Amino acid sequence: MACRPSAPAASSGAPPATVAPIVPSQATAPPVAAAPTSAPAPTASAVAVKRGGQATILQTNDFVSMDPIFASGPTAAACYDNLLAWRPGTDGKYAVQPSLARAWESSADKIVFHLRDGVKFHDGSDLTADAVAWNLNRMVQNPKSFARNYLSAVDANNPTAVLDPLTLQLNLTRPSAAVLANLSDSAAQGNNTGIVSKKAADDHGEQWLALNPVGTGPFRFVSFASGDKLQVQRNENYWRMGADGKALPYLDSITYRVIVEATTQFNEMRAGTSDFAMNVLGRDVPAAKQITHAVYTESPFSGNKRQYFFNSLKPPFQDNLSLRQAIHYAVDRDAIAKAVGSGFGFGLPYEFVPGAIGYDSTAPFYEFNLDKAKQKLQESGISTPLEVRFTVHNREQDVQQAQMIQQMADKLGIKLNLDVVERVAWGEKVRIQNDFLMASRQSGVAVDPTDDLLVTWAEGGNSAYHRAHVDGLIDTLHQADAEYDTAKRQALFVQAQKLMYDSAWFGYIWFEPGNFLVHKRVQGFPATWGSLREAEWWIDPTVQ
Amino acid sequence: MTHAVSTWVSTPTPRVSHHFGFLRRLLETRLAGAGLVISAIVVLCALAAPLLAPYDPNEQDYLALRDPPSAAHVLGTDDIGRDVLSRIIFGSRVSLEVGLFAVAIAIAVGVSLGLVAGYAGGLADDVIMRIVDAVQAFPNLVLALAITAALGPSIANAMIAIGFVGTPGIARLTRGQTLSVREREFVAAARVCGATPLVIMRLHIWPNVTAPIVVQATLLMGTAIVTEAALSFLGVGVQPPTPSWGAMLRTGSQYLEVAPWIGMASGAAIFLTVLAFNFVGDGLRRALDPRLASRRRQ
Repeated sequence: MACRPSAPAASSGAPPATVAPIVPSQATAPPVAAAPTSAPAPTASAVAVKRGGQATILQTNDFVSMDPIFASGPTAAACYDNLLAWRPGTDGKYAVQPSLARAWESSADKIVFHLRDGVKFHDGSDLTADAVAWNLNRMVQNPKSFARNYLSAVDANNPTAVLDPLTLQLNLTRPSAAVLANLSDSAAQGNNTGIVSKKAADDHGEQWLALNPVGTGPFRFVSFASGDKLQVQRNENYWRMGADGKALPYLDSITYRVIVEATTQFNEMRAGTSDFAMNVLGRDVPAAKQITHAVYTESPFSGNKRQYFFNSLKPPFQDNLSLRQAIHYAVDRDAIAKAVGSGFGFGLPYEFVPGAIGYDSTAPFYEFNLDKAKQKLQESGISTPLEVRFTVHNREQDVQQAQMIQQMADKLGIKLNLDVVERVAWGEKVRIQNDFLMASRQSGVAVDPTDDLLVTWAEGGNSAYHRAHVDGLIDTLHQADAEYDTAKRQALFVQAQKLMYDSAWFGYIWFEPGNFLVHKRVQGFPATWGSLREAEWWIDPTVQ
Repeated sequence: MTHAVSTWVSTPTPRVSHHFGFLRRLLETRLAGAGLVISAIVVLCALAAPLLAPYDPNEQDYLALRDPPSAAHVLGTDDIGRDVLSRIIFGSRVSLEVGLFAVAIAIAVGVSLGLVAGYAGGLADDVIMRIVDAVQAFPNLVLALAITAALGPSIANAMIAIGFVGTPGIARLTRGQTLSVREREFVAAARVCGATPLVIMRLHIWPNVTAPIVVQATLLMGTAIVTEAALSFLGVGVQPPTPSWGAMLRTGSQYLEVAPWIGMASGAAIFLTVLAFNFVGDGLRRALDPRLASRRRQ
């Protein structure tokens, strides 16, 4: 795999000197290039593949909504297909590939998609340009849609035009390198752009889709118990073919179990009662490597950036750059990475991760310097002790790092009162109600950083973070999105990084590379980035 | 006048010898003595925590993450380099604070309800006891979880929740005792003398039902400490970084393989403290139970 990285080295104060490639710098396929028209070939060998069986997948976060556009976390991804897929090409590099769209043509102001013929939704309705146009319209026009965050270049007033029953046009307001990647099944963004059945929405209402996923995906919905599990079974009419010449998927069914506790997840894997877990905590990694019946794989593609941010609309951080900078200088990110990551992960002072487009170790950052922190605090005019509410997820690592930041801020006389809330409540409080002063978050590595950054730095909306206006930043990101030359894009992202640094709304803490723990009986697990591609999994009955 | 009636029925025992006799009876069982000693140590830790703890319980040493027990850190350090012993010592404050306040809430509300239900009888008794039944129908921990979830996680809300779930037991016990005492002659005498129900309950019934309630309160103390630990373990009790045995146990459970000392120390603290209060409660029951006392005399 050309883009498989080596493990990033631990840093010491400054960003890693040796940059390990984490994300291909040309993350997005050039939009003007014509796409191949054939379906992607499954990776499993025709001889080895066995059909049947079931798999159990563990996940940390519960399903908030299984309607993709409203999913603030995981969705029933195996029930859906996207217009495009995020897969390694013949050269081994990740790029957008055909999926429900068998081909497409791009230009500066539009993308024309040619849909695959004969594809049916789980409810028996046909995949048509009308159905896809309805999907794309709601993605960008529904005010509560998360997908619209990743499709900011789409003309929200006139998103689509149906050209014929299997051809439609997506209208753009500006050239965008990110749109295609975000319409693919790539990681988080892909969760929001799955194609759902229009007929199901017409028959039952759109709200019904939240608990009843109906797509064209390889698995169809069976049952869901909130906080417990989602069960799906094989879609007998799936359109993609397997290596054995029959329709995918190979598995009969999958159970997704929601287990918040990382330790419990790990023990499930160790006991052999589950087949897949991701993001094994650093402290468990040595033990994970010792499990004889499972394969441990590291994949920085699916890692997490740990960050904190301030509310720009409320005091004390509103209009007080020096106070924000004081806290940044007081945070010892290497100590946090070492303690919370248990040796797995490294301090990361930037938005961009090493190897990703935009990363530049010569860009300015706030190093850990208590003297500078105190000087900035003095400049801020704030009198101490200052009490600040710090809203964090109740995930173990979030609470750990929050306690460390609390201790570090305490050295300045800033008392951070932890407001530890469940993940959904965190989203409601911070992103929707704007009821916070300082908050922490974790963020994945986006296939293309543009739209992710546009969301992160949004000045309003139902999913904004700090809500600050930073002169020139949004324009710079739009320019980067419209630029297809990698070197020029890199320069624009570095410029954006500089603007982020100057405004100091975000504090960058550490990066935790991703990893997977997969039972050896599961074969055909190829994903190191993007969707899990459960359709291609199969169970080797000889392995217990 | 009413006070005189009450004095008339009490046994004229010399106060000092009565106290010694009570203490002797309490210490007749070795377990109660051991319980008293451990409880005293916990109370001492809580009162003199800043003097006894070798470190600030929230001070993080990034060079000593998850260090095993050593001369520098007798019980080792936790996941973010804090001294476990210091956090155990300061954690005793939270446990006792929550336990005491929760028990105080349970007694204040439970005794009041029990006295009214037992003395008034009739409709008041029916209404109060059906409410008590309804509350008791829920498992204690589930109810406490629901209350803290509704009020929000904090030490004050944990006290309220634990006190609330302890109230029905106290109310039921008080009512039972009151039903018995209200039929006694001195209560009838007080009523004849014109004492109001409030005065009768406060001056004549309450002093005569305290013994079993004291025992129950001591046992409830142990339950309250366990419940607080459970709430903190589940993340809805005392919030970080305040040292709490339950929260430490939660952290310890996550590091059981790589740093077992975190969980073992907090687990042992909870176990010993609750055991101690139960021993003391059992000793009190034996010391205050007139049937056991008469058996001893025989």
